[in-house]
Amino acid sequence: MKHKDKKTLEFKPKRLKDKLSGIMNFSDYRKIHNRIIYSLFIILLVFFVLVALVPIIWLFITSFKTIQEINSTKYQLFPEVFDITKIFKVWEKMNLLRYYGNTLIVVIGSIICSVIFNGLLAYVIGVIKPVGHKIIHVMVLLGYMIPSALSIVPLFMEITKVGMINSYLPLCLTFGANAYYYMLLKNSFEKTPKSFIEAARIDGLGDIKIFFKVVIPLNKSIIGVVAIFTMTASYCDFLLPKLVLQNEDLATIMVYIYNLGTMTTPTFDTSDFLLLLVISMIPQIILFIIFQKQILGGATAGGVKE
Amino acid sequence: MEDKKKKKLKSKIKRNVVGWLIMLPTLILFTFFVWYPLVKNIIISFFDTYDMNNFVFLQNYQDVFKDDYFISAFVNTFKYILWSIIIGFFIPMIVGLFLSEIIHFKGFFRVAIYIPCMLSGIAVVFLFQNIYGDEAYSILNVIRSLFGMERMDFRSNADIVIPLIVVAMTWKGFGGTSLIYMSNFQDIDTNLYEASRIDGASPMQRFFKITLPLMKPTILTLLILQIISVFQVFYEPMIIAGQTATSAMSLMQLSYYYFTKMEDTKSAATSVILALIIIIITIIYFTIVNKLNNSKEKSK
Amino acid sequence: MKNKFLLCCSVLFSLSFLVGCGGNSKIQLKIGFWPLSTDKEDVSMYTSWKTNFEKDFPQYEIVADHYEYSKDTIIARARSGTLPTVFQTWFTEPESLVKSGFIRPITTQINSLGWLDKMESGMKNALTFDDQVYGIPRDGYGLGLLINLATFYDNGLIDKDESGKYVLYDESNKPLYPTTFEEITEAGRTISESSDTKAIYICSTNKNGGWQLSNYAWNFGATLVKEEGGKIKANLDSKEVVAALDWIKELKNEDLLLNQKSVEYEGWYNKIGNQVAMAVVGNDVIKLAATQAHLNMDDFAFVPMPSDGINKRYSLYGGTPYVFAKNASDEQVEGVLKFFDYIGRSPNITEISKDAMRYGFEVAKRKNQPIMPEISPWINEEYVNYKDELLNEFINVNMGYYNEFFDNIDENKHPEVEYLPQEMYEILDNAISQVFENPSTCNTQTILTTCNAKYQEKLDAEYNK
Repeated sequence: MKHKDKKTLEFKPKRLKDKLSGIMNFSDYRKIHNRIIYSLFIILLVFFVLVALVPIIWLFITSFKTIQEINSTKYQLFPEVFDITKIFKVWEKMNLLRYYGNTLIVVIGSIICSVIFNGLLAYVIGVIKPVGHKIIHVMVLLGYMIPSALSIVPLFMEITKVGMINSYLPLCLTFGANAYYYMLLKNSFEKTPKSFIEAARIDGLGDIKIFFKVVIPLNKSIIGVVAIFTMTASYCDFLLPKLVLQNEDLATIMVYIYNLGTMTTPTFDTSDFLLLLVISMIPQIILFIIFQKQILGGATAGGVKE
Repeated sequence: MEDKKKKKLKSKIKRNVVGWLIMLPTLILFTFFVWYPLVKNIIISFFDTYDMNNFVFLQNYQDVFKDDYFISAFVNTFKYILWSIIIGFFIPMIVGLFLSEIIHFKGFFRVAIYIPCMLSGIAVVFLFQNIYGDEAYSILNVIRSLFGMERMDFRSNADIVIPLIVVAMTWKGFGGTSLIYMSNFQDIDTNLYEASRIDGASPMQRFFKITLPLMKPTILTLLILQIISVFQVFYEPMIIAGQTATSAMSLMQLSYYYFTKMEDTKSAATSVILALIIIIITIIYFTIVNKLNNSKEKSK
Repeated sequence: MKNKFLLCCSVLFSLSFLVGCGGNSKIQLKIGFWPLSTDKEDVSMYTSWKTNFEKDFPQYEIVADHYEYSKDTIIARARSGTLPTVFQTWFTEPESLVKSGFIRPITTQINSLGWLDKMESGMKNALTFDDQVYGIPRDGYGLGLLINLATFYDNGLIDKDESGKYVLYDESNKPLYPTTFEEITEAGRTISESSDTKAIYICSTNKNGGWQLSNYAWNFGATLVKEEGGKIKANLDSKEVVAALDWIKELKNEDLLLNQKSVEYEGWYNKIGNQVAMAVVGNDVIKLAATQAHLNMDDFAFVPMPSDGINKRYSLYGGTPYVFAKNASDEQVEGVLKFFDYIGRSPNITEISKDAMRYGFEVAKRKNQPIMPEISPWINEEYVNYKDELLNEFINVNMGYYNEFFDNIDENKHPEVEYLPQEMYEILDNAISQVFENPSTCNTQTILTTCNAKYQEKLDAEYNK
């Protein structure tokens, strides 16, 4: 590893020479010991990358073992046969099509609710600013301070009272009341040039139309970020879905994993379950590869703005 | 003139009405999903049943305080915080610093480190349940057996289960936090470094004299966010340590446990206590931030 | 383009809410014991039963609503009113379910069918509260000792005869396997001397520890709860219970138990292969060793519980009843009871129920499950006879290793503690955990005195007001 890093330094010396920003710049890297420190940075980062990836890779490898291989006391890192069709067998055996279908419905519904409801609130408070908007703003943020999971019991009871148990509706609607997405949207909407909105108003557009025809197109990127965030959050959501989706057939993939993982007399073996975990991770990783820029951008930009 | 004023007033009223109408659906959602459950929780914590038959004032709180489960959950909460500071606080800072300093493979490192953040909590917890287990394939035990040590069940070992849960949480979260640190490190004005370089400060001195003081607010914010998120551990101990295992039970988990025993009001009381702790910590945080700001102004 | 996509999404989305909302006038019977969708063979079996039933009784509709009972899911289900019409639970549960008002009595319905007298009396008692019967037993289980014969043989503890079968009994039919607690410890010592395998799987958490400990204590001669002068008295600190806990302490001190600080029942089948030589399990789950861990059932023997040599080899006796949700109507209950004929779970022996019972065995055979006797929920002759007939045909394990348990269960069975069993188990779990935590220094008497006080407190709050 070390050797390789040194090589990189030798082959691309120009780049370190060009480095202007940061605690150490090109002038520091004239000193050899700073270069060693730099390669140390790289080595440590490689280490952390390994820390991040090894468990996933281990899971992937192990999930392709047979149950006999898994329970055997002689540990072998790799399965004897690497049968990629096991994914399809497990998919079929565990009826995953149904549960992914359920999840897809919830995710799409959540994205729609999240963008529209939080967006409308952000638009009203950030742009229209009616009387009392400051109070609402503070109240939304206050609710954000206390983790929502804390009041899960009354929430569950209320959902029961309005008869929305075994329905996807509350799972989607709950994303329409999210202070964090509201903040992201509001910060962006406030920066929308006033002239555009005024122009639209003079053209006789109502506020709802302005929102959909002017504000949304002008804030595509932040709406994309909110949509992607909602997509991951809703895909991973567990506590409320677990309580609301009582019927096994309605379960989302995460609820299904939990139900299977905590079963007392399982009807499948451990290796199948591990593969199910792998399968559940695949959409997220694909999503990440596609929307890398938005996700990483959102992660760095929105994180600390409290 | 009068007319214009009237018109203005009229349009103002109209905008107010329209504004409120547009945000009404969202406000209903906030009421239903956030505000009402929160308030209801506080109210029922003073009653004997969910339907509020009798007002019992602090009885629930007294019962909860007397419960052995509560005592261990309360102590555990502070163990979680301690361990999450030891394990989960410095690593993202260091990784963030390195990421901001390097220029090679930066994109690759960012992506690779962030992957665990994308995974769902439940899948990650089950992944770590298998890593920590005592089965022949559980990786920690495979490593132990390489050194000729006997297999052990990490999950049921009360001394180490909390740090192990914190490791799992840190593994899942450190990428995101690192990126926040990275962008904040990069935001520091290069001219400041330039000036101190002219003064002859070494990189080490620059880091301690310039970087760290400037990063104080970020560090503080992330610390407080981390502590608040630690209060929410819930299914992590439930799955890794067991539903009723006191070794790692968190206050959130206890609140849920009361719910499963039909003791809603105790559950509510536990939630309220937890919320109070979070509020107190947040107030302390704001006090410190204010002090920092004040001292900055003074020094100016 | 984008708009169309969005439109499609929202249409799909709203459609999905409408699906399943179609009204119909049939009486719905939500079946909670419907197999999980991953269990394809079982699902198709139940589907055929459903078809048969709905053909004969068109006024009913069978609705699959798989529900796996657990302490934490029951609350959410019951309180949101989404419990299936009928579902499975454990024999320890009905009392608390009745008290919480989650299930309804079915006395009149089963009485009119004449099933009450056909029910096994122990199970009937466990389901009767205030003269009302609250469920139908599915099957019973008794705790016994599962022995890995291969491990015993490898360590020279038992022999094989000429035909390669393990020899479990001598000429006078005296057992050669451990029958007392002391002998278990000794066998464990021998095994752990020459291998990494530990003696026995002893649970300590999730109420499984207390559940098993109560059986050990009885076999040391203990009575765990007494009724004295109209008051219920806990008796967890008697010398017999201490002796039982001391036995666990000794095993732990000599490193004859799994190197874990907490052990739950679930997962024993993964350990019995090569990590422990014995496990205390119910006869209803033995098959998991074959289905989950792919072990050969002919390497195992299932024998009555050990005792201290003086007391009887009691077997904690429980089971799985079917119970009915509180909001189930009389009509629904009647419908479900009729459906029981179609799945072979009723005491009636008709062509339909015979076929269903046979089908059940055939599916088990096709799935390569070990088939062995069950503890029958019904005692009417024709039911028992037909069941025996089927068993004779389908049993696929070497009964020489299993007979002793099933032959003696009637005599050995011992019902679970009547008063707050789950609470007591939880308290006793704690006692075992403390022993596991500090095996060398702990004082079992003090631990149990504390447990006794805690249990008494719960009993007082519940019964001795």
